Amino acid sequence: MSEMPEAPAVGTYVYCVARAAPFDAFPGFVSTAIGTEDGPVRTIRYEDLVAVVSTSPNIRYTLRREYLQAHERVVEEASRYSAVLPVAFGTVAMNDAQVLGQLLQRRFDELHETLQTVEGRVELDLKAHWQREAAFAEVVAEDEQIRMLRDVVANQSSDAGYYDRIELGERTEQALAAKRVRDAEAILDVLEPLAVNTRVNKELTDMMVLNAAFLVDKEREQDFDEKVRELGDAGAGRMLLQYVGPVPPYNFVNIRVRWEA
Amino acid sequence: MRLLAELLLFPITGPIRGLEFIVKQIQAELEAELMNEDRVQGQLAELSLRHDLGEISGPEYEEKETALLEELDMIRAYQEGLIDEYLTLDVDAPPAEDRT
Repeated sequence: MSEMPEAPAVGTYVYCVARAAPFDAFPGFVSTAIGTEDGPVRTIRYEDLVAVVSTSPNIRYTLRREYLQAHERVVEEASRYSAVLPVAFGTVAMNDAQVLGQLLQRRFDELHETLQTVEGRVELDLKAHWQREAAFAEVVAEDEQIRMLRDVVANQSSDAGYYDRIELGERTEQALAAKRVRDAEAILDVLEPLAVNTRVNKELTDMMVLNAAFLVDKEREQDFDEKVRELGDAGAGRMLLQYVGPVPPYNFVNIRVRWEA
Repeated sequence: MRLLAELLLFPITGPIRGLEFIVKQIQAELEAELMNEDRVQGQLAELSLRHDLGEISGPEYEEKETALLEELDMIRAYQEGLIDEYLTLDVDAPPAEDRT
């Protein structure tokens, strides 16, 4: 074991950065702090910015449901009063002075600029999934060679059909990949014009068509909802949409801080 | 462990060098499979979809999500090179294997 300087047992957990004014006459947070039974969620102010924080054990926060929920609830509550810049989950400073000096003061200009990009806007998240049977049925219907191969394989013993099976698998995969690009673009063509910013994340499963986050002006949120509903109706029976929002702009801002002793 | 099972069940007919290759391959594949964050993210996405569709109950969802989050956390800790610290600090961590 190497000798490490002892870190203090208690530190300051940082949830997000926000505008200070909305918290001037603020009755206090109702959300409970992360990692502790007592101690309120509070703010540290510098000029016209605040960091939303709570006193917390100085630990590495594991991805436990209760921790993730505690973090999300506070950021969500803060976002009801001000535009917020989410700080990465699990960020614990040694003390309040570190948050003030190394986050609010040192990165003041950057925080200001970033706040402007999310002010008056909400994040809306959309995942589109194919329904498995429908997607395969379409691929078979659209591709004559896949149709032929499928018939060949169906009439062969599993040994004899080995290479045909592989070819069928590969062709199906290619056809699905091409279909994914088309379907994803069709969705983005409708939604992207309504968003100020769009972030397309990696698809996470073989049936996921699109995994995207949109930053949308609050005035256009209803239009956006309407478009998503239309897309859902149009895709009924073949595609499922998971639509979540409005949420704090997690996909567009994620402040990371490396604290210096 | 579908992948490992497939590799192990494959008939080994080549010379010993081939066998060594296969063993190394298994270790590499196993590590890639175990330490793949995307795989766990995919399982989490699928789980949330099934929950939204009402195919699994709230308690079942929470239980499975908890397990997947733990796995994801292990992967992150491993990637951050914190695995030892993680295993000694967090009392709720799953039982540690002997890694020495």
